[in-house]
Amino acid sequence: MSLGPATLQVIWSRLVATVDEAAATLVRTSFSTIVRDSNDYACVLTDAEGRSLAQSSLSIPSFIATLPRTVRAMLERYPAETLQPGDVLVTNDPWLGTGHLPDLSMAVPIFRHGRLVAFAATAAHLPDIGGRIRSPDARELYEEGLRIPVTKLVVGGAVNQQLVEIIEANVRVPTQVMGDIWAQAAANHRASVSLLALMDDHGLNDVVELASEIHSRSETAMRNAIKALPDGEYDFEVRGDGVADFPIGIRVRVRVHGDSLEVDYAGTSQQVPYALNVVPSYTFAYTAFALKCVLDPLLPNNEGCFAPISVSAPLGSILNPQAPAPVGARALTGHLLPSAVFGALHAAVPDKVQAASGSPLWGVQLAGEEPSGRYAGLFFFNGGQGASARQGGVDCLSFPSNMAATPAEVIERELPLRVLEKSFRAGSGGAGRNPGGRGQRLRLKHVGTASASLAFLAERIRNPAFGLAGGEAGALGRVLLNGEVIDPKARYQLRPGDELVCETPGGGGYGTAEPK
Amino acid sequence: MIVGVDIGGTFTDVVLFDRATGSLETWKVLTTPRAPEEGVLRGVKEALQAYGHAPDDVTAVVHATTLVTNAIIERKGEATGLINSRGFADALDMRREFRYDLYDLDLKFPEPLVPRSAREEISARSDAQGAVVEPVDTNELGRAMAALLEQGVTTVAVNLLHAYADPSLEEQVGEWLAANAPELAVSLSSDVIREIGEYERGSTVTANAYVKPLIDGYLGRLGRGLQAVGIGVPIRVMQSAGGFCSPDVARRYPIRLLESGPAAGALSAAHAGASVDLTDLLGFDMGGTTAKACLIREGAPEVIHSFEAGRVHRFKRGSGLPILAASVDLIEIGAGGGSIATVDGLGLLGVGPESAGSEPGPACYELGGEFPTVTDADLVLGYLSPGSFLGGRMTLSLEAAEKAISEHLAEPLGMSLLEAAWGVHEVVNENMASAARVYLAEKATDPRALTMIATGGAGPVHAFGVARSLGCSHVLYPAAAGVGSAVGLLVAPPREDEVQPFLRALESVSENELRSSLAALEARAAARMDPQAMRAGGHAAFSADMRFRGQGQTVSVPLEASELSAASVATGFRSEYRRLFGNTTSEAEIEFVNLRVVVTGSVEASPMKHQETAKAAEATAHRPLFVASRQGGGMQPAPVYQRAALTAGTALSGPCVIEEAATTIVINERTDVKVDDQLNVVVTVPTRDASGLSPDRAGGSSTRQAGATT
Repeated sequence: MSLGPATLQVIWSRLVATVDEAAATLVRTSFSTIVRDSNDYACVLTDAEGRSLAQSSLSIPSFIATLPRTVRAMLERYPAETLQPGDVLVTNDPWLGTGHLPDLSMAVPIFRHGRLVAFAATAAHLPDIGGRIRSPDARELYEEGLRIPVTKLVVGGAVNQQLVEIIEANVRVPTQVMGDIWAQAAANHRASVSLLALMDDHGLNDVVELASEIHSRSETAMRNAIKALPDGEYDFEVRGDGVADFPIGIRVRVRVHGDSLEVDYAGTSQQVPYALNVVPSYTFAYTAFALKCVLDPLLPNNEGCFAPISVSAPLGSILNPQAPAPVGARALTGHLLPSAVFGALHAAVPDKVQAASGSPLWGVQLAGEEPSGRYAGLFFFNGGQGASARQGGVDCLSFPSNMAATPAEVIERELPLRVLEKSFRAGSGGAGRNPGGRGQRLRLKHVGTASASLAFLAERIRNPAFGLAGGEAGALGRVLLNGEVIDPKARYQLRPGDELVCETPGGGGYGTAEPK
Repeated sequence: MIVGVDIGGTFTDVVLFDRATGSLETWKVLTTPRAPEEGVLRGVKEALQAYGHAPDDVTAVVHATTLVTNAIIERKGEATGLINSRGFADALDMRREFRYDLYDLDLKFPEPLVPRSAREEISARSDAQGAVVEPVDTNELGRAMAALLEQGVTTVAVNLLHAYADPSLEEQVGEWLAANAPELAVSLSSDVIREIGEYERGSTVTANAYVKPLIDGYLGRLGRGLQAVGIGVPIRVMQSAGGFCSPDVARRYPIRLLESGPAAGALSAAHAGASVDLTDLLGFDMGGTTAKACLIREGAPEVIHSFEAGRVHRFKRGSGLPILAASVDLIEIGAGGGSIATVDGLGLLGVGPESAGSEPGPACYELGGEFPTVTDADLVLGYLSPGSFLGGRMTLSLEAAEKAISEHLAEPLGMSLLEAAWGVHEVVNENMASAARVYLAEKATDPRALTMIATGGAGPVHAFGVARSLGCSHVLYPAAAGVGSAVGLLVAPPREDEVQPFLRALESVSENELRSSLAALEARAAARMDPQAMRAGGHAAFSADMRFRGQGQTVSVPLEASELSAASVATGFRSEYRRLFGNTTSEAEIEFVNLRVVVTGSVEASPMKHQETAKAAEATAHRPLFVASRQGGGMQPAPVYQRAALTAGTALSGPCVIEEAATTIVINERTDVKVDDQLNVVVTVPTRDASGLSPDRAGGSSTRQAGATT
């Protein structure tokens, strides 16, 4: 049969609904707050060769195009003939999966009339994976938790109990972790059932023609969007604070040639003995995210979209590190990539990009003991968005990830802190024709009875969010403890009565500010 | 006699229901947007007159209104001020700092209802346990009030930190304002909604304050107007949660009326199902620009406790103002009769969400609309008839519809006219089915267990196709579908919702403590109910939002007053958890998050059944209808029936068309059609393997009897 422009649309819509249904199942049943509130997961359907057909709509950028790679890696370890109905494959290897250990990738083969026709796959952030509490301090991957190579968690419907016991023995909250893993299995099951019903309804015996239509049409759309860019090589460089004596330099060259596009990170910093390293799939994901924002934001995610795009970084660099490099705090580096790509493309399409944002996200981590019991908590808040030729940056907005801020009333309920102020930082947005979004000033006081250990997620203390087209950079971020500026990359003890002020960075401005 | 009044965008619908005879009479007048009470009064007067009733016969007036929604969307509220704890005046602009669309770099957010200049900070606040951290300083409060009055503020919201835990500070502020600025309308966050989260609670109380003077004035004028025509009974106002409240409650908590109309629609669907003993339903309503779907489980619409008003990106969660209030849970989809079909960026036939609206409208209206819409496709397929649209009040141009579809779809896509039209019909159906699928998956509900209830102008034209894609077993087209929402008003119970934060480990709460907490909550809700309604079968339903410790989201667990021991509550939680999530692998600790109560009174109305007759229905005409089949499909002559002439017990078979004043029921396949003793039309949806149709295999235009209508 042939799929015409209406039938294909009908099936495609339903395919996207199928992965979104799986996502709804995952979100509903998951323990992780990060999965539920921050969409830190993805659900994907691939063809029998592991090429993505559809991806759930709400996933954060970290997962763009990672799952199909993982499925292909699983197929290398377990070729099609070794798979049977009821198998569940898993791995959390950063190089095969999404770039850090807490994300578990899982795939199930889908059989129709005894033939492997597709895979349903999910990746999600588990509540814990053992190792040290998440921190950039790790020097080797081994400190960061349990590493699971590609393994069958379920073999033909029978649970691999040994693997379950190994996982349970290595994590802090085993019931929650296994609960989330089974939530992923339920989501994959849901996607499998729905895909088979779709195939029944439309009389499809396989997804070969469907995949080829989806891929070729998406690829064509992406190539057309690239063709609209002027050919050329566009260079840019951004700097991140890094840790200790290791600042991060990202150098990017975007080559546009006809209908294809190459992103090369040659000249970027070497890998570091801290957890800031970014594996190639995460490098690709955040690069592809920026390109999609500029080129075709509405195009549904699948293999075809990214066929015209290649991304490379030198082996041994911070964007293509060699194992066992630690990778747990990859976001501190990876979140700089969209602004690097925007900066490069500004020369080609000045109206379509945006200045740097006061990102990555900020967080405060506090743990200790009060008479009421032990506590440990991590809460998030954000800087300002970068401005564009089209509009000023939004004040305090998560970018490029998407972490909601924790309400002050929830912070105070869960930790011995009083939030004295959460307000916009006047003048923190970079000046410009369109000014950058403002950062915030969060003022906290320890109202407990005992000292607590304190750590931060903070970036752009030394390197501000740059402006574009004459727009100025946003204000630097700052952390003050009892009025003294401190380095947020170090750990502290917060004593009762201590006052902490976090000032998040502003976004960069766009265009020269008109004189008042 | 009960009078139901539903103010819609264009029409104000009036229904008269006589309890003694079970008769239902309907009347429509134009809505008067500037002074909506005028339309209501005229409608009620005219309806009573037309059907020969005296004002004395009226025992109740139940009312649904879009006034609150419109005031927020169109920014028609009064100058509002906000008083909040020091350090948090930016909260309304800062929101929760996330993006509602990942790939859109140009996000827009709704302007807060109160400008930054009309927000005043005072030091008063509590801590998370409700203990006072800083008391109310009346000098400071006086300065704040003076600053607001100077800006011309007439209504004020108060939102102090942790007021959900202890309302006393806010109450002191409220009392002081009442004594010192009696002309100000005051809304306290702890009174409007006792839930944690300074931004969401603040957004809710601000919206409440914003519409308060408006609703107060409106209900006052309406009450006096009704009195003037001799109707002295109190007005009942429909709330978002699907129950009515007294005018006093509506004036104090106008934000609870936000989804008044859709709630009536959902109740109406629930009622249509209940009258034929069906309790698990999918309400499906499709109009000119949007479609709505609402799950009804065990006879009641699903209720959520948080939703959004005035979304700037209509269908995106996160692009509106968060409102914490009980509300029927429905999804809105950008698909309607006016949705425009195009060739999308992928070279495929796409439909919506852009809509031609009513102006210029579909091409077939010939009001200047150039682009093909869903209505145009339905006309070409024979699903609508040029001469009998809206009961013949409007003539449609088949020629204009064909031209729009040929030029903009068929030719560029290399399809025949019929293929393109059938494609539009199928694509819009799948858009709606896909959205409903995800919505149902979020609720762990299998669509195959549901009967679809179809309403709205375009709903009955598309319901059969949507139900088939979803796998629903039946579609029910209720009698009086044209005034569907207003019927819901007649079957609404009085209702009051109340919530109390209760973050406690299950194990730490004794049965007695839980019982007395629930009793206090019930007393708070019951105090707002009409005592008479309480005596006549008032009922309290308790529930708790619960979770395993460590989880973010909660599960709503029904609580029985007789079974409040930790063990039975745990059993209830686990069984609800299992229903939603399939299993309870966790041995984690269980905790309460909120306690809730819903107090409802009894429902007064219950329409009568009709005698079944075995009278055969006669087709008034035949017209060519696009009928799909495995081999492709094409135009076939099909019988056309008039709904008004169908009697209880009639059995028909599809393909057929049933016309009524406001809509057309389209059955485009072979199947059984029945009219039940409530005069509902009930259609069996063929099982999946019976078809499997593809629009691109539709027959060419040669099989079509061009332009023929009989």
